[in-house]
Amino acid sequence: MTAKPTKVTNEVRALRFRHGEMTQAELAERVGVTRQTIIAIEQGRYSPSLEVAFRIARVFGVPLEEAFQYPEDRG
Amino acid sequence: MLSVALYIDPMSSFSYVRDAMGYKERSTWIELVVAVGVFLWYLAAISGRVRGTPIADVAFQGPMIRATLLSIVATIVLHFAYAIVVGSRDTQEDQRDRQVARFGDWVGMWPLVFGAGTALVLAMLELDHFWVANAIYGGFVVSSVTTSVARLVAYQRGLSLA
Repeated sequence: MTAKPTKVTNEVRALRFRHGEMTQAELAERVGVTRQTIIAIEQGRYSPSLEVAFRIARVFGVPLEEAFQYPEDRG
Repeated sequence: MLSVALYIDPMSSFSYVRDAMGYKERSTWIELVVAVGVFLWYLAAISGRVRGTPIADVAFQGPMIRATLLSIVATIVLHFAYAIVVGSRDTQEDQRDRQVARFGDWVGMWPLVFGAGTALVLAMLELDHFWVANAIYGGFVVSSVTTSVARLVAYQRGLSLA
């Protein structure tokens, strides 16, 4: 465990805007985390647990990989 | 121009802090301020007694006990004061807070181990109680500061479990 940004990228911000400009506070409440955690996820400073990632994807009604992506290894 | 650049609206600053930081991050800042502030108070109290007195005769026990009690009381009071001034009712904690806390605990464990190890060596060398007690106390203080700083860095830079 280290203090550094995650490689996981996400479309949470775009998904929020596509779903009636849902606020970070509303998403946080529906997922069961703090608003600061949603901010950290959107800014790529935190990758949530698989369970929270599934809950976020489910709020938007999309598959997990539409909400979160992980870059291919090169080499 | 300079006065304009340096002007900080206290209420907007409070709003920024309230919105940008969660309860646990604010709490970590309070713990850091208390740890540093109380240690500086302890140093000032001890330095006044050390001058002109053999180390073996320095009464460090009183200031050390008062510093410990002061840090507990100050932490509680500052949490209450912050909640009143900023009007924060949000005390929610989630998995990110717990992971950040564990990361900080892991980083902060090492100064504590080092302080205890140093105290063990000093005791074996039969040095004065002053040095043994202060090695342990110093370990606690550095551990507390390191834990808080590691948590704040994790909050700001991000936390990767990989």
